[in-house]
Amino acid sequence: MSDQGDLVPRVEDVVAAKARLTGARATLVARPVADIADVLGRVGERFSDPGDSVRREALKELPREAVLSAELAEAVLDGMAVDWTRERISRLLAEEFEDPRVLDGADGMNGGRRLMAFGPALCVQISSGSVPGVGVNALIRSLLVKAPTLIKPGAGDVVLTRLFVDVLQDADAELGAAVEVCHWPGSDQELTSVAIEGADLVAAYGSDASVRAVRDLLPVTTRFIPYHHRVGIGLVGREVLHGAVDEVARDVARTVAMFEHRGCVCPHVVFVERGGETLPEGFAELVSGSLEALASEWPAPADADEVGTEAAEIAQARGTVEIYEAAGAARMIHGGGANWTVVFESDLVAVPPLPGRSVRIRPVDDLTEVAAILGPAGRHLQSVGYAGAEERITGLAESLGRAGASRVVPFARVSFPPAWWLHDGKGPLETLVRWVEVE
Amino acid sequence: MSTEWDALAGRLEDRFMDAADGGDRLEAWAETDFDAFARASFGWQYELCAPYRALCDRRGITPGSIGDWRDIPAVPATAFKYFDFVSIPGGWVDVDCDAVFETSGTTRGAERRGRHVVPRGSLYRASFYHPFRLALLPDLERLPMLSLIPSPAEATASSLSCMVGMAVEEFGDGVDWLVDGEGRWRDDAFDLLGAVRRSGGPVLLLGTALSFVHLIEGVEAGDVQLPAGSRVMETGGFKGARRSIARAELYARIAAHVGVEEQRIVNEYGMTELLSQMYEPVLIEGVEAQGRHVAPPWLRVRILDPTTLEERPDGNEGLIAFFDLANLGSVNHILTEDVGVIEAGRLQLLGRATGAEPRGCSRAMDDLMAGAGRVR
Repeated sequence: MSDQGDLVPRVEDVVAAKARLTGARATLVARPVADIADVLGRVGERFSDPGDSVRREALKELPREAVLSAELAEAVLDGMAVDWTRERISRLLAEEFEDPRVLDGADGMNGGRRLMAFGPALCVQISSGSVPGVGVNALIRSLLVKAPTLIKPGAGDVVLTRLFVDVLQDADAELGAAVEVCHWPGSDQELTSVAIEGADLVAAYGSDASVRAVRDLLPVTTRFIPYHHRVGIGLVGREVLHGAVDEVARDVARTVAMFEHRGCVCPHVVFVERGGETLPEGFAELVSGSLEALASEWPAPADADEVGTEAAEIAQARGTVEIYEAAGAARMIHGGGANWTVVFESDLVAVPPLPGRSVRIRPVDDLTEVAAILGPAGRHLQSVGYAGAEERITGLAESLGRAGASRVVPFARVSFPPAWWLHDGKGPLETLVRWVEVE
Repeated sequence: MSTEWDALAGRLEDRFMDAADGGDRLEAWAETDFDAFARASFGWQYELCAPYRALCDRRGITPGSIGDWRDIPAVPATAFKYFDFVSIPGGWVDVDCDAVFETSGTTRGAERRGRHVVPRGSLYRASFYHPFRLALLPDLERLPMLSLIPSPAEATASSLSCMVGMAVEEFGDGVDWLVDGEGRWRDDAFDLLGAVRRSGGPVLLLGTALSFVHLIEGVEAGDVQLPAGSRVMETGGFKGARRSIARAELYARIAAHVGVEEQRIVNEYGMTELLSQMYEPVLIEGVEAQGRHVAPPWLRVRILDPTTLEERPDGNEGLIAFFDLANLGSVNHILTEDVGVIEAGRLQLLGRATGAEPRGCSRAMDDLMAGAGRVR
């Protein structure tokens, strides 16, 4: 689909790449972190500059590779590249470390506890999926903690990751030498084994099965960060179900359509409280209207194979939901030939996975019920989008946090968490480092 | 149980069993003949299967409203994971059913399984008989069998195991079950295979594509030499775009490892939700028949536009829909996720539209959340 032009690396290519990374470490760790942040920001800023050839190149390649329309690909790049600036990268450091100079070794120790934070000597990041920008984020994190990194981007994210590294290598050969991009099919366990051998830290993104496959290969001395399968949900309080409720529905629809609903932040079920002026079913209709409008603002991808595959999945899912609908257990509103589907569940039913831009709307008497409804699914919960009165949110966040959520956020900001978000509950840089204290 | 329903089932079974024309094909059915059976079956299914009737009513379709069998609503195969489609007088809670088949899990792991309740197993046997015979034994009455598919006694929920069990009963001259109900090789499996004498009479080796991969890993090329005239039935092949490549390679390796020519490897295509099967008639027609499945006359195959679900003319790719009269006890008309094309009356399978790993880290939480059971 996306990387047909790329040759799968041979075992010796991966071994050689790791040897180069090992060689690049001494230079990398000698660079002050502020200096690294500055270079990364300068490189990253080129992706949001409309006049820059790098951005144009990215926008040319992204739709085909990530299977997104040109319009949605641009929205994705804009959202992702917000964090790839000097200002935001500095802020990421500041949010994660009281004094980021702890990353600079002995030189960075100051008063109080004498602490140093070290990134892994060799880091391997194994990404997956087709959300573009995830690989660049992973690389920025790695380099900020001075970890030479071998990255395997997701199949839909190879172009952007490579492009970032190419530009980095031009801008700063020393930093560029500390990164290697290799892509191979996730099913190739041999290459995965070769890649992770000798790594101090491995981060794996993907489905539970693909993350487990990586984990099972690791020796006990290798630190492992599992970014396994995650889903999002949404909460809509009765207090916002009047007046400007269409804006809430529009925000919900945008989080559903963004990334063609392939992102771990995308909401799958939105719980809507009864008792507002707009009933939950009416809210489902408003979300449907917004999804219909988005079908022209952000068209669906045009890739013929992808469209055929998705259409087949949609036919199965909609056909099955239609039987529930016939039995009075659900109501479905969909875009016909457009790939959006909204299922309003009047009853607790098991609905098949809905492909495309799709969301389930489930009414509840009170949002406090949601944590209990989630049950064991909380282990896979990540972002909770919300629209409701501020004073209720902290209480709800506590119960959802206990149920498994790591992020509770207004719908308008669901799609693009800031660089310093607690990714699955941990600071993205802090989780990469090992602390050393001189007592 | 209703005598009228039984009478219809009996008529269908008789027609399935009478279908052989004495030659190496099944006699074609006139369209009016097929349509009459389809209408009669739909009448029962509409009356007896509540979720199906609800779907039909919602679409405003009743037994009295249809133009021909194509207007009868199709049920997506996925729906068998969520509903039990059982069409039997008296309801299946009170009537003993002959079998309850489950779909196998996929790489997606602990996902929901589809379930096909079979009230009357003799319909399955009758629809199985001639198509299997013509595909695998056009030249012989019986032959010894070796199965890489678990026995029906050990895999009661597997429609494939049930089918192999029927094959053994109807056409087998003894059988060795080489794997157990968990799919593990028996300790003596390779010894049994190696002991089949090159000088003996022909045998039939049956297995899934995956079991053949395991077989190839377990034996050296040339260690097993099945006697001349032996044949292989392979099923559940590799799905997806790379299917043809993977298949050519698989067949070459099966040929090298068990000593059966590639043109004597017969692919069977079936699914838990359908009681009828399709085969590539390579033993009769030779290698030309590879990749071109033949449907028995009581199974109609159509290719639909994936978006509009309108029927597409022959030669066009699309989703495969089956209308299987052997499914009298459930629903006849099934929409699959498989992509294919019909040319010259033969179905070419182009792969499964779904089955790839869900993209990114987004997968529906539906199965995790709603514990609701099936609807009957």
